[in-house]
Amino acid sequence: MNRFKNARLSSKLFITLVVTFLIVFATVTLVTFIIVRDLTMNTQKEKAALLIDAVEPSLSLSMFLGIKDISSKLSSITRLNEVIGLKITDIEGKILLDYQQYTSLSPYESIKVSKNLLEPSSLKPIGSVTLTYSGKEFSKTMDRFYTVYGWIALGVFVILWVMLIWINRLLLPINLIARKVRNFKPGEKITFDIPYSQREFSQIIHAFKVMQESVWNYSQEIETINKNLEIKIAEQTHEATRHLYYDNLTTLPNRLKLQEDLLLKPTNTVAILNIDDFKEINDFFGIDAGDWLLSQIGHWLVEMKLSPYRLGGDEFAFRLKQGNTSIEFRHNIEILLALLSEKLFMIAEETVHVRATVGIAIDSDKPLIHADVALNKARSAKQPYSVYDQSEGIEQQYQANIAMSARIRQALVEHRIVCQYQPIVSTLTGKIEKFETLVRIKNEDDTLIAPYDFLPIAQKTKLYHHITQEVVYQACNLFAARHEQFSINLSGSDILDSRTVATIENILRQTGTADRIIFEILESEGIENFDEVALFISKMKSLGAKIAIDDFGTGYSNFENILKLNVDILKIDGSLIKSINENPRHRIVVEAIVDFAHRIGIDTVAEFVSSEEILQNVTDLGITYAQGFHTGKPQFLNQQLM
Amino acid sequence: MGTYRIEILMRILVLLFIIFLSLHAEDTLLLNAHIKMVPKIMALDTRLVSKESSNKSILAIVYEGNRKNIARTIADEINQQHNGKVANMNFTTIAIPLEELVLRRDISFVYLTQMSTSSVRKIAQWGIENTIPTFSYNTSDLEEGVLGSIAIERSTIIYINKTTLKKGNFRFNDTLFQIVRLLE
Repeated sequence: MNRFKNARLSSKLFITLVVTFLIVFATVTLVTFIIVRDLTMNTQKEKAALLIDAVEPSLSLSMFLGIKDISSKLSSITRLNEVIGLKITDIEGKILLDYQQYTSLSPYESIKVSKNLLEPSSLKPIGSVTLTYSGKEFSKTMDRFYTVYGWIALGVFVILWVMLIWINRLLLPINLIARKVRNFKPGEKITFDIPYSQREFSQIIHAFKVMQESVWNYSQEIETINKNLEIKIAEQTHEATRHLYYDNLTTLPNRLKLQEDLLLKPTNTVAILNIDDFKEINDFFGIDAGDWLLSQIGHWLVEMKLSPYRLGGDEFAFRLKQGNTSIEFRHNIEILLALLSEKLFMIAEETVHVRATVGIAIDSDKPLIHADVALNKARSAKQPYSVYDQSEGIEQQYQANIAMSARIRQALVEHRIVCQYQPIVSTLTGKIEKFETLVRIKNEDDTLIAPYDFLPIAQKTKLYHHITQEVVYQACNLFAARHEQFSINLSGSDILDSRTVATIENILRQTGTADRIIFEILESEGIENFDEVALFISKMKSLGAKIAIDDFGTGYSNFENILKLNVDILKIDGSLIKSINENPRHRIVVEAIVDFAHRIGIDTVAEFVSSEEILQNVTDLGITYAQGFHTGKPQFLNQQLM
Repeated sequence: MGTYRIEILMRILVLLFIIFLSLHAEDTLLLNAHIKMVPKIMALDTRLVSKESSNKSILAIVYEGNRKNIARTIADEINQQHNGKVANMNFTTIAIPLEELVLRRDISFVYLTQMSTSSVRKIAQWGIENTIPTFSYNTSDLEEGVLGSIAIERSTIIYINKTTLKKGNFRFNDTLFQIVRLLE
């Protein structure tokens, strides 16, 4: 069916014509055959019947009269060649005459007609006559019919064949047009040379010509549009490239451009220049003024023929000519920084001096990273510049920090954050009355990681709050079954994090340990975030908790702050305690603290009590509690009382 | 059982008598054909119903002089063979002398035994006048005006006198005329 659908039009027309012709021809032939056959057969039968009718009366009468010699009555028909048999029987079936003419005709070529013989007066049946009539005439007629229709069929076939040729010829222009149109390309012009033309083909060709002109016009328009688009795209690409690779503020190439430029060589020497205290300039003069200053600095770096890049914020970078020695680089940078410090920049009619810190990576395969490491190192060391030195292992430290961050995260998931508790002993009774909670990470091999190895990293990766919440949870649940007081260290960020504070409150309520918990806070946190810390202290004290200032005596040591914060305990910094025997100044400071505490009625704790001598001293000074390796090492506790 | 034997004996005697007569007068074969065919030809008379005075038609076997026995024998044989019925027609056969025949009006069909030419002519004329078909044993009687006769030649032939047929205004079943031979 699909094959017919996809066939050529000429084939479809021809097949349709052939099928239609065949159906019509077959139908006409069949109908004619039936009519001719029946007509011929009936004619022959009627002939036979007429013959019987001719002799039937005399035959009936002869039989009625009992005349036995009836063959003479039948001679008129038996002498006919067409009559090949005649059989007469009486009413009882007795054969009175059985005439058979010798014939070579086969039985199916003969026609039999029978008729009853009736008594002349009463019309009662008295016998029957059966005439066998020759079918030769019938066969001849049918043969003539077949011959005629054979010729007609041949004629039809010839007509169809001629029609096929004619259809193909008629549709030839379509093929020619299709071939031409198939190879048509916009912008070209086709000429249609048709051998002969009917009106339909002229119309199609005219339509194609009109369409061709439209397409040509459109293609011209599209070509013009394309050219305009290409120009616009080129402009947009140029603009996008400019946006992509250049800094809008300073019009200098940006970090991405630098990265791509660095890829041209396997190693590069790069310096990153960071403006010192630029935040203060922004805060003081405003952001617009800061931007203006950055623009001037960029311009100045261009004037210095450094081909600078702006990396972002207050950072610029420039590539240095390779091949110089480290000393030469250092010298050049020193000159540059000196010139920069001498340069006066204008901000709103004010002159500003700018200082900068520079990190340098020499012949490095990761120059941006290494220069950044060097810059950080210089800033940390408060130096004007620093050159990256692989032997210092700073990059390895970064890697270690990343690995530690992953370990902390893993430990939190696998509940390997554990707590040890260091006893705090009363100097009066010598008994353990409190414990300080100290956090650890338990490795998979049960070894412990000390807090100073992971807490600074945790603070930078925002995992610190999770650790704090875990420590509070573990400690509160442990001491819920014990009677001692226990302390937990909180950082300023913990106190500022409302979620952590809310979690602590919930745990305290659930465990009922609020009246025995002591939160240890650094004095510096209370000063930097006074309002938030004061609010937290107020909230915790309302629950029954106590507040201790940790490492008191080394920082601000501002007694007024202590009064304002309404703390309960001062934990005297261990660096004062451990050298209290040797350093009279430390002893004086400790005595002042203890005196202050006594006066306002709060307890003191001496840290780092590592010997009996120190313990004796702190006891003599009136410090109420001692904590250190001498009085008790950090240890795991269970819920059973000691 | 006794009656049946007597009947058979009688039939044998009649047959012997007919054989005897045939030796002196009529041809037995021809007479036998007439006995069979004459009543049937009578049944082909289409005007017979209108001429009937009773339910049964009468076939008269006419004789002359001392030939009464022959006529009676023929009549009996017809009655016996056809049992008083041919096709739908009931009939009876009687032997009757010439003199009585011409006086009767109930006769439907007449069969003439051998007799003188004058008698034949008289009966023929009577038949024409009364439209009563007359058939004769002798074919030659047709020349005297008798309507028809039956002859056995190569085959059985029924002769009809065409003149008498027209004069007597006789009407027979049309099929009869397909097999008869008409004589002028």
